[in-house]
Formats: sequence, C-alpha cells, structure tokens
Amino acid sequence: MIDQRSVERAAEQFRLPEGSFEQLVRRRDRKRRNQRIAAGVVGIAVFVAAVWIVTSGLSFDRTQTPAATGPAEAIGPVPETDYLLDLDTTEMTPLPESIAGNQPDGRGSSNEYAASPDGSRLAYAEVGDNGESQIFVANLDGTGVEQVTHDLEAAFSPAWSPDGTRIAFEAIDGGHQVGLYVLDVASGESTQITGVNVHYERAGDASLQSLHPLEPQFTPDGSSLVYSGGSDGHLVIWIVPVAGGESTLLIGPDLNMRDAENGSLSPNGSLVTFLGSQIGGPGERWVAGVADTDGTDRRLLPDVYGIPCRSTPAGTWSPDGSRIVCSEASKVIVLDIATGAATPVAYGRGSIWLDDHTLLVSL
Amino acid sequence: MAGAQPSFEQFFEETHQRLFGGLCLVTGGRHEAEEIMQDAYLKLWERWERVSVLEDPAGFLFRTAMNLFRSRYRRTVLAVRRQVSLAPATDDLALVEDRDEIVRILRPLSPAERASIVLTTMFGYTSEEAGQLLGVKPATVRAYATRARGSVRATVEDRS
Repeated sequence: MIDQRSVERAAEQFRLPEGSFEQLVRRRDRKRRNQRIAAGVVGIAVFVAAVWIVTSGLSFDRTQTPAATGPAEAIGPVPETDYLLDLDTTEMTPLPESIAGNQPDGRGSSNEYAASPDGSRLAYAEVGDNGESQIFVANLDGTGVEQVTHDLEAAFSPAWSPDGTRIAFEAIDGGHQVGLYVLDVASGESTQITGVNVHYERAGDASLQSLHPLEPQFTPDGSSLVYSGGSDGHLVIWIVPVAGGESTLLIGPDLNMRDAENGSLSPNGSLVTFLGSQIGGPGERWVAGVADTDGTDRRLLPDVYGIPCRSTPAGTWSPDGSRIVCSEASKVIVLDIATGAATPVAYGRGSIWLDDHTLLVSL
Repeated sequence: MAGAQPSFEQFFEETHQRLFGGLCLVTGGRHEAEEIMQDAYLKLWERWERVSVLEDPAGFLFRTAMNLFRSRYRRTVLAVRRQVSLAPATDDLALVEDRDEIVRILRPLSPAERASIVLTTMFGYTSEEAGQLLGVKPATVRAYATRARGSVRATVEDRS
C-alpha cells in the first residue's frame, strides 16, 4: 500500500555521499564568479560595439558567422515576471499576473506567447483544466483570460493569423498523434492541418519515433502554415496549405547543413530565418541563418554568446521587417537583418515583438 | 524549526537527505535530483536571512524544489517534443526496483504523477497544496493518486 512510511522508506534508499555541502559551496562560488564574468562581458561588448560603430562601415559578412556587432546596450536588472520592454525608453512593464503566472494557484504561462496582429491580445500556452498545457487568450491588460482549447490532450506554441481570426498551434491528441491545428477564435472549433503518429508514453523517455510538426506560423496571406517537421530523420522547414493538402519543403539541408528548424517568415514573406547544424570543418556546429524564401542566398547570423539565437517563430520579426528578436544564453538579442548588428537588450529565455518599439520578454 | 534560527549549514544537514530521497522518487534519477536539490538550496541560501525566520523553512525549501522540478519538467517535455539530442535518460529507480515495492510501483508513472504521490504521502501535503506546488488543480492531484492506486492493483494482479 502507498502510505507515508513506505514512501519514506523508499526515499531513504537514495543517499547522498558525504561532502554535499562542500559541493554546494563550490557551486555558489562558481555562480558568483560567472555573474561577475557575465557583467564583464556585457561591459566589453558595449565597448567593442562603440569602437566598431566609430571605425567601420555597416557590412554584413555572408560567408562566415559574424562576430557580435552593433550598438549593444547595457542589460537592465532581471524582473521577477514576464514583461514588456520599450526599446526606446528601456522601460519595463510587468505582464499582468493573470497572464504571466505567479498565480495563487501556482499556475504560470510556459513562455510561449503570440501577439495578435494589432498587439492588443495574447495567445499563450498554460496549464489548462485537464492539468496539461492548453492554449489561452487574454487581452494585454490581463482581462478576458480564456482557455480556448479543451478537447486535446495538450496544446502548445500558438500563432495568430494575420487577420486575427484564427490561431495555429501544436497539439497532442489522446491517440498519440501530434499535429498542427488551426482554431477559429469566434467559434472555438479546431481543425487538424497535419500530423504524425508518435509513441508518447511519458516525458523523459525521449521515445518519440518520428519528428513531429512544431512551431507553426501563418504565411503573410494567411493561406498556409510554415512549420518545422521531420524528413528522413532530420528536421526541415515545411509549408502546408491551411485548406488542406500536402506539405512542401521550404528550407532543407543544404550548404553543409544537416537540418533546418525554427523557421520564421518575414512580414512580406521574402525572407526566412532558421536554425541548422552546420557540418564540415573541425566539427558540427549549431548555427542561425537567414535565406530568401526559395532557399537561396543563405547567410549566417551572428552568435553573440557563442551559441545560435533561437526565436519564437510567430513573433520573430518586427512588424516593419527590419529586425528579428531571438534569445541565446538567457539574453534577448535584437538583430538588424540588413547589417547584422546584434544588440543584447534584456535577460530572458524568449521574446516576441508587440510592435516596432515593444518586446514581450519571457523569463 | 519555528523560533530558533539555525545556521544555513545546519539546516542543510537536517533536511537534505530527505529532500534528495523525495526528489529521486519524483525524477527517477539521482543526477537530476541532485541538480534540483542544489539549485533549491542555492536559492534559499541567497535569501537565508529572510527564510530562516519563517515558521517553516523546510516547507519553503520543498516548495522551491518543486517549483524547480516543475520548471525543469516543462523544459524536458519541450525538449522531448523537439527531438533534441538528449542523453539517455538515467533511471536510477531501476537500480533499487527489485528491492522496493513502492519504487516498483512509482517507476512506470510519469514524473508529475510521482510528484503528486510523493508530495501527498511523504511530505504530507494536501491535494490542494500539492496542486499549488505542481501548477495543477487539486482534482488532478487526486486523479494521479487514483491512477497510482490503479497501478498498485495492476502490479499486484500481474504478479499473481
């Protein structure tokens, strides 16, 4: 029988060796040292950026991963909850708790936000009424919080359509099928667009047998979804009509790249950003890049902290199409797509654009 | 522990084995349990002046550890969904499984289910409190407990 005594007895079989406290002390010291180093790196980045602006023109190297460039700003303090960042004034405004979490019931969003086209509403993934991740919508002021997916086992990664009437998302149904769905916001009805069968018994097993579709984003005309999905065991970027039909390849392996994912279309549909693993040379390397939407003219994007910048596809591009926002090493970086200038602007694990001057930063 | 204000090291010595054991049952792996445990203690250490005067610092510790577990669990789910290259999942529960009936029952459950069981039985939380810690409704915690009891029955039936 499961009771306190039997569970305590089971737990007692796991014993830590002597010296755990000393290990904790070393970890604390390491953390403090890393914080000092990080502060120094930011200072150096600011200095280097200033020197770069004075001494060089704005040219974007298309063959090599550019070094960190651009007018880096000092990153402000870390807020306690997801927040809006005004890029002009650096003012930070916490998201309403009804959206950002820290709720009395312990709930909190899972950092997967999408802004409606007019920036007035958010869609996001949060623990829903079945205890699993579901899609919610809310007004930016925290009112009107509503769970909009109910009949699926779990739902993630929402993205608004350009006209604000539909929301695309990933979902797991009860029968081990993972797919992309489109929700009609007015009627609340969801339609599956594409999907694959996976073996999904429990988290931690890593037992998925196929690469399922993820991170959907509407094309600018709202007729199709761009998403990452499997092809011969590798992730590639697909496009599929919302009305139904086969997926076609948008960005696949090429230019010594083994795979491609995390794709995001620019507002006019002419460019696509992506992540991929570059092979050849001394070893495989994870890189971020941008290409024309026919897959040509690929070039690499800077990795400021030595790892490629991952973005939230539905919120990657500024509405004017001049910049992208992504995050690496828990820093949010704004990158000028024409010049390659990268500016760390905040601490955070993810970010999306609300308008050309405002970011939503998630921790 | 109310009233007296132990040093942080004293608090660590008094609480860490129990927390570690509980986390091993929840996560199924010694390494992940130790990571979460150390992160939780670091968070408390940075706030020890305020935490040490609380009525129940150990409760604060368990809540912090469970918040960290919940955050890591969410990230693990995302990582699995994205097919990133994960190291083979360690399953330290398997090492003691044959010796312990409870471990054998807990092992096939999901981490969230195991967390519900450990919080409500070992640490004595109500389903409402456990629901708060895990970010789910109390009804979900009770549902997990029901499913766990179902696992007990299934295990017993399998063996018979």
